[in-house]
Amino acid sequence: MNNSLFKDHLGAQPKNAALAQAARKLVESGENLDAERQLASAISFESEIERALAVSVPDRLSARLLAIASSDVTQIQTRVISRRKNAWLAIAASVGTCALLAGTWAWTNRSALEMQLAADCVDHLTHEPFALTRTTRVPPALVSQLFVKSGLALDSNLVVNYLQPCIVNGQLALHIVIQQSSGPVTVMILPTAKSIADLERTVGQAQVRVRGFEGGGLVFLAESSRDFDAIEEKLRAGLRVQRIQNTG
Amino acid sequence: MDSRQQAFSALVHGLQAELYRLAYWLCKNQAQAQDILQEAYMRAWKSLDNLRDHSAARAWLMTIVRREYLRTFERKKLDTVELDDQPIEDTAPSMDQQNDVEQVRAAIAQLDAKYRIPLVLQVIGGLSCSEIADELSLSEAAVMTQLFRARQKIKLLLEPDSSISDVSNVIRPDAFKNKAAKA
Repeated sequence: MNNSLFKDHLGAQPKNAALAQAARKLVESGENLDAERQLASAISFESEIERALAVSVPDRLSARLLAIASSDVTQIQTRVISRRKNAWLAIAASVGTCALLAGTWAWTNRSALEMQLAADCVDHLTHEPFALTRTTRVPPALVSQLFVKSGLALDSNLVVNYLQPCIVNGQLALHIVIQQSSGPVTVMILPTAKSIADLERTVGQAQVRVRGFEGGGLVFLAESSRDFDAIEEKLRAGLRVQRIQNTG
Repeated sequence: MDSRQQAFSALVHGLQAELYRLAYWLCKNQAQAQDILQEAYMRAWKSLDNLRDHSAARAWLMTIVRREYLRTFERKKLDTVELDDQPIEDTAPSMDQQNDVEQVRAAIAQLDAKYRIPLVLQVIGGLSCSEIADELSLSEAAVMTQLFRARQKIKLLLEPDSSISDVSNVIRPDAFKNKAAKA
C-alpha cells in the first residue's frame, strides 16, 4: 500500500487491520515517517466518533419490543400517519395552549392543589410535545405491564397511543395519549394524588378536566372535550389503583 | 414462551441497542427512532420463520431498520457523489481533547444523510465498505468517498469558528473511484 492509498483508507476506514502493517512499512521505507502517528491519531478520533454515536437506549425499549411477541400483531396499528405533516401543528397547538392555560390559571381563584396540579400537567406537556403526534398503538401487553408497574390495573380495550410513567407535581403519573377523531387527548393518571377536587375549564379552544379518582387523580387535556366523557367512563370502568410494585 | 418467542427475545436483547442507535442516527429523533425500531421488530416478528440463518439476523434487522426509515421518512434513495481525481492531503486528525462527546455528537448530527448514513452503518453496524455499498446500492468507491468526507467534515465542524459552508471549500474531492479502477 503506497502512502496515498494509506491516507485514503485512513480517512475512510481507520480501523482496517491492514493499516497497521502499512504504516510500519511506510515508516521503514521512509515514504512517510509520520505514518504510525497518523494511524494512532485516526484511531483515537474514531474512538471519539464511536463514543458520540453510542447514544443511550431508552429504559423501556426492550419491554416495548418484547411485547410485540406477546401481542396479536395483526391488531396493532402500524401506520405512522402523516407524522411529519402533522407534528408541527400538534406541537404548536400544545405549546400555544399551554401558554394560554398558564396565563389564565395565574389569576383564577381556584383550589391551590388542583391549580398547581393542572399547571404542572400543562408544563409537563411542553416537555413531551412529541407524545401528541404518536399514532401507533402501544401493544396492549406493554400497556398492562406499565400500568401494573405504576401501581395500576387496567381492564379496558382503550387504545393507547403513547404511554410513559413520569413524575408530575412531584408524584408518579402515568402519561397517556389517546388519538381521537377530535385530536389527541392527554390523560395524566396520578395513583397517589390526595384529595383531588373536580375542576373543568375552557380556555380559548383548550379543554381541561381534573377529577378525583380512588384517592388519586385524573387530568384530561385536549383541544376538545368531546371525548372526555367516553374516555373517563372507560377509565373508571376498567382502572383500579393497586400497590406500586418495585420495577427494579 | 415458545421457541419462536425465544428466538425473537434473543433478537431483542442482543441487537436492540445497536439497532436503536442506528435508527436514532438515521432520523436524529428519539421518539421516531423508537417507532422505527418497533415497526422493524414487528416486521421481523412476522417474517421470523423466513430467517433460516440466525447468524445473518443482525444484517437482516439492520436492513429492515434502514428500509423502515427510508419508507417512513425519506422515501428516496441516497444521492451518489461525483468524484474528482485530485491528490489526497494529510488526513491525520488533529482533534483536541476539549472536544467532548456532545460536540462530536452535534457535528455528526449536522452531516448530510449521504455522509452520516454510511458512517453510522460502518461504526455502529460494523459493515465493511463493500457491505455498505451493497446496502446503499452505491459503488464501493463512492462509499469510501462518503466515509472519508464524513470524517473530514466532523473534524472541520469541531474546529473553532467552523461552519458547514466552510467544509465544501476545504474538503478535497478524493480519488477512490479512480484508484479502485486502477487496482
